[in-house]
Amino acid sequence: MRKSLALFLVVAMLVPVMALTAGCSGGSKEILIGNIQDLTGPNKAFGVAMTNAAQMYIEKLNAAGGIGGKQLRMISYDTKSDVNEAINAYNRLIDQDKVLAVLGPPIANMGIALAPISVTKKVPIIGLFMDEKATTDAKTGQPFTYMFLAQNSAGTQARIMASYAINELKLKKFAVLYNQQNAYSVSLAEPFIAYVTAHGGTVVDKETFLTADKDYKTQLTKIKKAQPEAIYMPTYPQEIPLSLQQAYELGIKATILGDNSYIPFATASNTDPKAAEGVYFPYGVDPADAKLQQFATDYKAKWGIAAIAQSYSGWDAFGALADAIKRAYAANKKVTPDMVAAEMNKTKDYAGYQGALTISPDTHRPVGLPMVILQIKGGKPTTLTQYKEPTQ
Amino acid sequence: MEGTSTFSFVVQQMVNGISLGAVYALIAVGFALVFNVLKFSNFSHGGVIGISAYVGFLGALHLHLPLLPTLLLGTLAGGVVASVVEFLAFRSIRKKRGQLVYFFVTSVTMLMLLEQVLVIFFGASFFTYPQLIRTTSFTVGGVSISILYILMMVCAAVAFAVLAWALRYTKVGIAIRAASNDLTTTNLMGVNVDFIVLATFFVSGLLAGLSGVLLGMAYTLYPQIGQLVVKGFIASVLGGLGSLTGAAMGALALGIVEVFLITVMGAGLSPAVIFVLMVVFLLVRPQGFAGVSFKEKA
Repeated sequence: MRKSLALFLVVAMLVPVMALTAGCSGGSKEILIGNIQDLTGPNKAFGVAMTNAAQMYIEKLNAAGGIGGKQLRMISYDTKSDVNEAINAYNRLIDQDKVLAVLGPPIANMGIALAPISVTKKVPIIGLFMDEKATTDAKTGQPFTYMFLAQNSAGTQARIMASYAINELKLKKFAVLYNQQNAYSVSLAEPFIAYVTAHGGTVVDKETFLTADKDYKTQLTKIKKAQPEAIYMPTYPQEIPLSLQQAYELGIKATILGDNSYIPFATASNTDPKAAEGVYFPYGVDPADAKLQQFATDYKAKWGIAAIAQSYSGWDAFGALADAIKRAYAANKKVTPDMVAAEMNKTKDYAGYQGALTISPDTHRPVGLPMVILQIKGGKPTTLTQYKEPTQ
Repeated sequence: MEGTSTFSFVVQQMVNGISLGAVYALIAVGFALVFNVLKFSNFSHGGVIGISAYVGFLGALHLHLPLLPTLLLGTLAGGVVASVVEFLAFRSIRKKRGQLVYFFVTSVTMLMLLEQVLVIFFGASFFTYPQLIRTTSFTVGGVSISILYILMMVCAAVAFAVLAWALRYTKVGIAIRAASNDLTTTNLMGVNVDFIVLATFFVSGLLAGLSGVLLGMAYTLYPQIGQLVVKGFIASVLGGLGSLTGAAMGALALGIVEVFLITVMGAGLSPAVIFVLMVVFLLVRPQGFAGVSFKEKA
């Protein structure tokens, strides 16, 4: 009896010790990176794209010896399109799994929710959350120390679209239709309107809808009456086929301007192909770029699905993070989350698929990163030109 | 560049409202049918809508079914699923003479359960139906009309007419009406109440299935598509809970009011006003447009 009790006590003491040591950045052999993505849910395509790309990067890096002789391992949690799941996942990755850094989601709402938590948890998140509120503290105007964006922000993207429409397409009268409950949608619509009105254009109608809404014909009828030359419709994937189809059914002939979610959702099977014809939208990478082709082939071969923008920008995000870890390790012979965050600030001209990625230490967002303007022609996205954020 | 006169703008918005009302009517009539007999708000109707929408989608995608067979498949699936729901979830409560609130709670639980079934088998991602209708809209005098919405209106009208006829002239229909008046007495009169309730759920399910496929075609397909049943519930409250004509009228009114509110005050405030309107109806005129009122309901 006494032996059993002693054995029980030993086991009871060992279990938490084992659990703790298991979570310590993989001991001396592994570097653990967290991954917070929608692996199910309406935005699954984005989360899966980032996860797949990061996994490919890790395999390449590990095959070449890893970092400082340590192999990288990614721990992924599915956020199921739920912000609370993202918060739980971030806490679990730090408190339980003891990760060094986190690959964050391409979802603005989640980035915004994670930003203030990162202040206390002090583990950097590198992601594609485009809303600037995910990287800049609205109270202080200063960047969140541990939040980094690896693609153009929503503001930049919206200004690129607005500038292209005004300066290249010579459009002046705009209408905007967006989801007022979605941070991504709002963070694109507002800077677009601000840029247009500051550069000689007018916004003749601004209409909103809610996430639960599926019929936007009332709003589109109002827009049609206002006679805009172009309609900016920055929305999430699920809403893109609806807004395009319904605008088409109402006989709206105005130029449609979209966002970087329009591939492949603009050409969804229940959308009349004519509804998407002629739509302009900015994109993080040029699908026609020769340097993307090998990656696209490898990606398709490994995962059985086509690479999308978030596959390339996800690769860039993970690559920039891995580079920061390498630099931190080379300088200190060890690496901590604070060292990674410090090195992320020094990211300069990282050769990514999106272009030369330089992170501004003032904003923790890329500077000077171009986007590509695409137009749907004959049912397929066609590259028109590369375009940078206007300087004024 | 296109433009619209004030007249065609108003007509277009009316068309939008009536179209939306037709969508809600399809949901509301099936919803009201069960209320009519069992006197509870059957939210599992939404779950049946969801399952049927996916069944129709699978038929269209994998069996390459054209429009009408897809509609038929989804409609039948709705009838079958609703019957199964009645048998598994509601029958024992009815046999034990459970309180109406048990029916209500079970119906909400079944809605969530059926949604989760869809999540398990299809994931939470959204899908889109294959394009089953080649021409999507036509224009009359500057007013655009969606073919799919016309189809919904026709389906709602035909379903309603068939239902009204069946309730009036068929034996089962007459028994359903008798059951809606008083289930216990109907039973004492020798009518097989189990069969009548099952038939009610089956017919309600047919309507759920039809609306599920049409909703899936008009919008995108996602596990929570059945939550549009809330619109059917609001329409039923406006029209008078339990009245089929009232539900159809309430649905049309709801569609038109929604469009009016979005036009006047925007999409953000519209739902709040609709819910206030619903509360006002429940307080001031619980019998709705149709003037039907029940002492006990859930």
